[in-house]
Amino acid sequence: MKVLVAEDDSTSRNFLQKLLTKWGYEVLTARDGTEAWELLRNGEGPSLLLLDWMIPGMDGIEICQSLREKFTSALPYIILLTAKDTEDDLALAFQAGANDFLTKPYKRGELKGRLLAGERIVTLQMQLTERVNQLEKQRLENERMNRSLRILLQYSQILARTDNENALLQETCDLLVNSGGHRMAWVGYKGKDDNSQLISMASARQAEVKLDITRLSWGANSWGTDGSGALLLPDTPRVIGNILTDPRCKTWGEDASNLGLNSAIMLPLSLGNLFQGVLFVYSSEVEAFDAEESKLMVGLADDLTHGILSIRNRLERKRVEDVLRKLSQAVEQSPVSVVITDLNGNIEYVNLKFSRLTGYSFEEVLGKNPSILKSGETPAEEYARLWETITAGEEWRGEFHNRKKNGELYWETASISPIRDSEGAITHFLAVKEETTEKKRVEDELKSERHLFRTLMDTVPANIYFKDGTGRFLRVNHSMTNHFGLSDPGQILGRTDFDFFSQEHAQQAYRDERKIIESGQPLLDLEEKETWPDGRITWVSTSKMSLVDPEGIVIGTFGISRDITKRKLMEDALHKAHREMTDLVDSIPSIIIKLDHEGKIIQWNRTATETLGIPLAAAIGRRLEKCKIKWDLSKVIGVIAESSKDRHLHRLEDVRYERPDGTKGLLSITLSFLGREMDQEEGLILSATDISERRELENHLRQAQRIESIGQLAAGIAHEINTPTQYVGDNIRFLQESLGGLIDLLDVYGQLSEAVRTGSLTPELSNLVEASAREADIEYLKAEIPKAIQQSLEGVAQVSKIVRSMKEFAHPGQTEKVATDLNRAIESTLTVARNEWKYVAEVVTDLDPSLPLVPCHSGDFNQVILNLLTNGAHAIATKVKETGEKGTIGVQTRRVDGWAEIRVRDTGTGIPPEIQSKIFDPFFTTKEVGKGTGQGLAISHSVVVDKHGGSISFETEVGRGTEFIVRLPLGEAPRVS
Amino acid sequence: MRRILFVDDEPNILQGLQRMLRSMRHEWEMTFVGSGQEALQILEKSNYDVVVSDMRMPVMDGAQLFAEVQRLYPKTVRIILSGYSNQELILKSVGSAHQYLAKPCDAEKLKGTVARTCALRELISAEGLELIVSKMQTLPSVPSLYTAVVKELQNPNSSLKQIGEMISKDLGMAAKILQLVNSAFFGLRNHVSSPAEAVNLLGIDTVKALVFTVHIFSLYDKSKLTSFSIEELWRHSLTVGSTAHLIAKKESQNPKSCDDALMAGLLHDSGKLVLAANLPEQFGRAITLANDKTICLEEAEREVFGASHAEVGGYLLGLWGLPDPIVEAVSFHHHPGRSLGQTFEPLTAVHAANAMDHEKRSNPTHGKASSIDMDYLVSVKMEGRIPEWGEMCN
Repeated sequence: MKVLVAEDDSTSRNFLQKLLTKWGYEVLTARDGTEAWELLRNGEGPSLLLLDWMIPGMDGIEICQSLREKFTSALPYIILLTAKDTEDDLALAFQAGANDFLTKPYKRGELKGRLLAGERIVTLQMQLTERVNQLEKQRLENERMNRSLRILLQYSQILARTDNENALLQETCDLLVNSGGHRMAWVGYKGKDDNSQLISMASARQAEVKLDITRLSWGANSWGTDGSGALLLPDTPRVIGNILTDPRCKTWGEDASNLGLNSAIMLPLSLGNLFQGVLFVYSSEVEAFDAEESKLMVGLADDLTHGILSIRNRLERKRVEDVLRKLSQAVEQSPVSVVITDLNGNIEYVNLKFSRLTGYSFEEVLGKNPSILKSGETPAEEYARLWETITAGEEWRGEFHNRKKNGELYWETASISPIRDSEGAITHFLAVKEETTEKKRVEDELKSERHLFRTLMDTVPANIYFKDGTGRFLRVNHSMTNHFGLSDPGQILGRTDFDFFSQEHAQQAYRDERKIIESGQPLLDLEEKETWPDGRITWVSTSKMSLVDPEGIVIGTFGISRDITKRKLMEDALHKAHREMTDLVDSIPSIIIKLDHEGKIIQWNRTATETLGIPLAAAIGRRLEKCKIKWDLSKVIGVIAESSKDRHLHRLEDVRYERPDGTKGLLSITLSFLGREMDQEEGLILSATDISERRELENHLRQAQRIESIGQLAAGIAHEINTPTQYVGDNIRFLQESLGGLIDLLDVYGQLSEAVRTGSLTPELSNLVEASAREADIEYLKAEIPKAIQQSLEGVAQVSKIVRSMKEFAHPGQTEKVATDLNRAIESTLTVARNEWKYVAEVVTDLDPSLPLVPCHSGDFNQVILNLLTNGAHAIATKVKETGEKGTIGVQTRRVDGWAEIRVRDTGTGIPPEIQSKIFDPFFTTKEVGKGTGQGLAISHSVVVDKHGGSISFETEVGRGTEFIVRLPLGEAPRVS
Repeated sequence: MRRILFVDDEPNILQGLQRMLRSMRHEWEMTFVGSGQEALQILEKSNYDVVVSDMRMPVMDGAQLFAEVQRLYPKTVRIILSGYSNQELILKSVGSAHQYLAKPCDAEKLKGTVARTCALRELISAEGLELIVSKMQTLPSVPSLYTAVVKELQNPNSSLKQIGEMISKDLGMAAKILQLVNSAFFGLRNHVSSPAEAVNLLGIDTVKALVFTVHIFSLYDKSKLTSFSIEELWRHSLTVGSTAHLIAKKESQNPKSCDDALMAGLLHDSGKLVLAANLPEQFGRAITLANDKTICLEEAEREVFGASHAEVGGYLLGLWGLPDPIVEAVSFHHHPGRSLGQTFEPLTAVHAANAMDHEKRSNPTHGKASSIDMDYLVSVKMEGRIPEWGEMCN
């Protein structure tokens, strides 16, 4: 026995140690209270304690108190050693928890006695404690046994009472939790397809467990890799004593422990040899599943598997019984005859139909051979074959011609086959027979009908089809198949138009069919356009009718059609050609009118309608003069007559007409005669174009060219004005300065005159006068001032002349011809254009003063003169280049008979013969790009010839020059300008 | 006494000019002739400082005459006085004429232009430089900018704005375009100091004609002088231009003055370009000298050429008729005290901006950096503004 000696006096301590060791005790020592407490505090210290009351650190009393506070059982037996021995001291010591008391100095015997007493008490205490523990264990064992018994009892009741597998599973779980006191129980079945899944079938748990298991899977997830998977699919019961610490549960152990699931048992549920699932039971206590409990659980799981099996067996048996009952009923009431014989061919069973057909009742034929039905019509070899086949275990099929009880013969087809037991041995034969007498007759009839129908279908030169209510082809003939570009009708059957035709066509056909089905009205002789997916188009003439079954119910449609594509294509081509022709004629922006040989209108295009305001309908078939066209009818009629007579092309320009909106326009009309070809009918084509716009455009172009040439002139004119402005300014500046000097001089002269008058002339004054005169540069001024004034006046006159000429040249806003002084117009133009020619040419004019006024558009006329002058100047410039020489431009006017003639001559390069014919063409120019538009001469020509009825011509010699001759008719001027 | 030759085929013009200019007879010796041929004969006999000629004349026009004068007497200043506004003719003279005056031209303007070009002569006493500057038709451009402008002009959708911006960045192109718009070549109003505005006034077609037909721009050839970086000059010019602009905007209410400051800043070193392009060897020597002696490049130039790039630039831009404030700012940007100005003007801004940029990036390969002339700033009462300008410079 272990004794602690706590004594601060080393002599006493050593003495006690030796003494006690000698007495057989195991001795520990402590020098002070603190050391003693260190040895005592962890509870596995000595059983006896010799404690000095007065000891440093904690004293004896303190140690007693602390032990009492810390431990409630297995306290060491404490003997206090002390010099104190008053009653109060003793009371205090016992109160603090000391068991005995020894006053120093003590006798060895007393010490020994006291120690023995203490030892006895300690031993007794220990024995008592052990006994109590044993009793407690016994009690728990009993309790558990009771519980197990209770559970097993309850469970046997559950098993007996439950006939539903799921309910059984649930009740099992409930029992484990409610009566078994387990924390949670659940059953998982293995997933059907995926064996790495357990699907929860039932579960129960104590209310505080917040967990819902529906399925557990492993494999790809961590369950598959950390070994948990093996836990979920145990092949023998597995116990996890401590979920929190078990390495197999490391991924979920902590979560489970938090839910109070601290130990578990996993019980495989195997039905026969087949693993079905697992029963999991969890307990809140660690190591709850000891051997006893595990055994209980295993037993329970066994009971459960048996329970499941018996429930399933019960169910299966019931199902088989049901099937059998249904089958025998079906056989009994079957519309075919059923006969079952034993291996010798003796009848064991016939059904109702057999009896009705043959007239033999079941009782009559029982044990007999089916040969009672033999009529002798079926050959013997057939029977031999029959036996051979069925005894060999094969099915025989064939036909019998048999006799009924009443002697009547009948046909039946039969299927005879062996019946085998579960080991595969043949036990019976089964004959299933059907009467075919009527069927055979009908078949024969049908065969003949079908032949007729087939012959009709396959030989008639038309496409025939039958469709069901949804548009599916039920039947098509060969002609139809060919029409579809196929060889086998089977390729069509079951399909619809949508499989063969374009979407739109199939849709239309479907709508037609629906209409036929709903209304019952056929579609007859319809010309139908078929469009195929590849864009091909065919035409058929078709009749479609509703297809009615023998009961009079509409079940679909059928149709018969003929391919009329060829005919249709020809019609279309003709139609298209006609339409294209009409479109073409309509699209021509000229009026096209065709007249037949009687002068009646047979064609009238859109432009004719739009331009003349007469609709097509009002024109066709009428004569032109009846059409109320507002035009110069007599002119048109005249030229038509002329054309009919001489059969030639005729043109009529500037025919005035009135548009539908009342505005006036000009037409250019061409008449061509038809009928000069052999097979052509005689007639006339009148084509006419509104040329008002063209005429107007020509006017605009003329105007534009004028503006352009004025623009060109502007730079020159600016120069012409800037030059005089410069010197006029300079001169005036000079005059200003001079005047200043002169005024000063005049002042000095004033002084001189005053001096002369008063006789006070001095030599100084005389010198001043001379100096001032010199200062004023008087000689220079006398010479220059008159010239400066003269030149300034010239300059001003020059500017005025240019400005005036400009105004005359431009002549804006003149629309009618006015009597014009051509000479003056020419001079203005020369002035305005001076900058164009002055660097290259001298201008010589020879203008006839007696030339009368000429009616003309003077603006246009100036334009012509300007064009001729500019061309001349350019021609000269090209010739003289930069030699510094100047050419000559001559302008002459005179009167020649009824004409005013203007000649503009230059000494330029002349016009080469090869371009002489082109110079009046619009846009023809010899100048480099960007210089001149090439419009000048073309417009001059148009102005002179078209606007004035004059003429323009030229004479030219290369290297010598050119002369243009313009003639304008003198005529009567409408008014004087 | 300056010698001026007037050429016009219109006798009334000649006589008018003669009378009007008679008051100048004590300062100028004037001759009046009626054709280009006569003018060339006279020039053969004696030197003239300035020739004023009509454009459109028979046989030999003003452009042809000036081309000859440029070839034979390059020092002579050539001024067109014409009443003709045909663009084709004008373009012909762009290369050879220094300035273009439009008829009618008032007496003061004519006298002033001639007098100003005569006065410019005083800027450069060195014979050789004067010759080189008078001969110059273009100022070379930074190759990358030149190429960019040409490319943009060839683009069918070219934008005037972009072209103007590009030209504004290159002093060669900016100076030339300003010459054209500031003279009466295109009959535009005077005193335009923004190249972008100039390009706008001319229009894209004229700019195209000028670049592709008349070749008013040219490329700087870097290989001639490797010790001189046109890119650095370009950077410096742009910086001084924008700084001078900022300073001017701060100090002056006159927007024209601000534009002038910008342009003068951009162009202030155009003399360097003239020297580097035409006298690379001597200019290189001046750079070396500046480095060796640690003196300002400007002083070194004076030693080598007898004049500095400031005067050369001022002379060129003056000849080209750029606005006076710009010419003055360029000419005196190193020594603003030599001008007669008493108040803030573009010169003040350019001088300060130039000195500040030099101080900030003193370039050891170009000698001593120039510094701010404090006496001058005191005289224009701007001495207190330096710190603020310095801020703007950053």
